[in-house]
Amino acid sequence: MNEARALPCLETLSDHDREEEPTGAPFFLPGEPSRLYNRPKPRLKLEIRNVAKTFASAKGLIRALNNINLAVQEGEFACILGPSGCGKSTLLHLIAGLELPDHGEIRLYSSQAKKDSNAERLIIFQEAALFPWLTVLENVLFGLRLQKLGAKESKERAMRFLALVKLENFANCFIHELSGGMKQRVALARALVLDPELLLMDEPFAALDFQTREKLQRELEEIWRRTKKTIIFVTHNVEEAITLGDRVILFSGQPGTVKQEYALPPSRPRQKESPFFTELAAEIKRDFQVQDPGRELVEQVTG
Amino acid sequence: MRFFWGKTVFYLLLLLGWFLLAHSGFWPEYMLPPPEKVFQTLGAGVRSGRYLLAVFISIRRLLLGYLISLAIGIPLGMVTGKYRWLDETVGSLLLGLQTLPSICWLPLSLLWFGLSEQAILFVVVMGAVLSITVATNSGVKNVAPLYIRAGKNMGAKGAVLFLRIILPAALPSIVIGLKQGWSFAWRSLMAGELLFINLGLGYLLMMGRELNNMAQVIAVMFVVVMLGLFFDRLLFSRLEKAVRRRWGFDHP
Ligand SMILES: Nc1ncnc2c1ncn2[C@@H]1O[C@H](COP(=O)(O)OP(=O)(O)OP(=O)(O)O)[C@@H](O)[C@H]1O
Ligand SMILES: [Mg+2]
Repeated sequence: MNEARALPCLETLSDHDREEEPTGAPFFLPGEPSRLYNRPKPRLKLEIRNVAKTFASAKGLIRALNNINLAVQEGEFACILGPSGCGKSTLLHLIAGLELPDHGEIRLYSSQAKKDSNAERLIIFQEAALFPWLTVLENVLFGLRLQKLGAKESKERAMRFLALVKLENFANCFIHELSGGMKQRVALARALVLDPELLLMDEPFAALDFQTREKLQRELEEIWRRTKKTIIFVTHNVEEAITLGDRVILFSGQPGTVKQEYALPPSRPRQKESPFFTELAAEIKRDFQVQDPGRELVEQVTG
Repeated sequence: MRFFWGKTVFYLLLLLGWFLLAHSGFWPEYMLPPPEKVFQTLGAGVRSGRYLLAVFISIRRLLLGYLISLAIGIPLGMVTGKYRWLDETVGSLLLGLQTLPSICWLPLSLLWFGLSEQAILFVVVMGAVLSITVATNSGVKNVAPLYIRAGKNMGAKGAVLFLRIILPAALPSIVIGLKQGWSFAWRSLMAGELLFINLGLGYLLMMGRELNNMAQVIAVMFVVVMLGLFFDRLLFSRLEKAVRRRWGFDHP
């Protein structure tokens, strides 16, 4: 099963083709250099090498991304954090294969040899891109219907995933009958039902109020724990990144580059009041301002 | 139903005004017949079957012409919406032709088809097909890119992408074109039947004029209005409303 899909700059490789197996190196926590965490040996899922992307606009060329290098391990919850316009969405679109990088390469290592599924990197867009002409259930069924799966089997599977996001009672509703948080949950179910190798989430909770956002964060964490998906989660909210991520990757803008990475301990759920949390949040915000004075990360409005 | 009584009173007053004006002797009867005379003529016409025959013939022409317009207009709008080069060439031509009132096609049509059923169908089709094409075209072109990206991301491409995403996303716009196309077809048909007399409602209207029978003219006009309202209210407005509701446009 040596199937390497040859897309220009964008390939899916099976386990066979891994060049080297990165070992789970122990890592230090910011502020706590004495403690050591040992993770189970991780396996590489996604590799981004020297990726750059430029857009032509009215004002000339805009370099959205410059020399991005990233590796994401299987089952990892990676949070990309950065200011507005630093190319976070662009990077996700590149990873999803919706656009091609100018140069560099993006490799996805597939754990199963998937046959005809085109839905291995699924993206949940900044605005829930649900189809209003379909019901909630039909939206979740959309991708399944493109695959060779029986109607009954598809429906059962779709209902299972609607239950996972606690929306089984809304299966026959139309999209405009849902709240913003419910829409994002449908989008999550619609992606998870296709069993993607990689789940890309583009500020999915940015438009939600504080309570709904916290609730969905908890639900997402739980779903991630149960499904063991590899998730790349984009946000511009420091607290959200620390709450959810195994790792926080800080981007800086114009052009977008990786500024800093922070590894987090595996203990969950993260306590917002813990000294570790607040110190790390402060550190990230500080790092951010050193590089980019005059610009500020959006802070979560509490209370 | 909110203004039911207001509406009823309004139309009763209108009828009363007409009645008084017609009986005031201010205008001769052949210019303004009283309402009861018009309704008598209408009743007699319906009973004799002449009106029903005319309605039947006109509606048959309309339906046939409209179906042909759908069969041409929707695919044409889809391909011109999808392929840029077709849009720049064929699309621009269609947009230009849309400015031409469809009855202007009658002379050409008569020369091509003679005094025949086809000639009148041609005029009806020219009336409807362009607005259906243009609406389908702009509907397809204006599909939100987000839907297309989401569809592609889930593995849709080619015909599947077009049929399962682009077309339904364009439907609200297409439905507006269908409605507009229908009303253009109806107008073109009436204009055609008036000029080129060959049974149908337009023919009845012209007969009324030739016999100096104003009551018949008004009675037939009444029938035309009723038919127009019937299709608009019972078919197209409902269709449009249903689509808008389902697509969530009426829920901000
Ligand atoms: N299709 C495009 N054409 C031209 N420029 C683009 C295009 N898409 C993105 N850009 C530019 O690339 C840069 C990065 O955009 P991107 O949408 O990736 O930012 P972002 O980090 O997702 O921002 P936000 O947090 O506001 O969503 C911006 O300067 C934007 O103007
Ligand atoms: Mg973005």
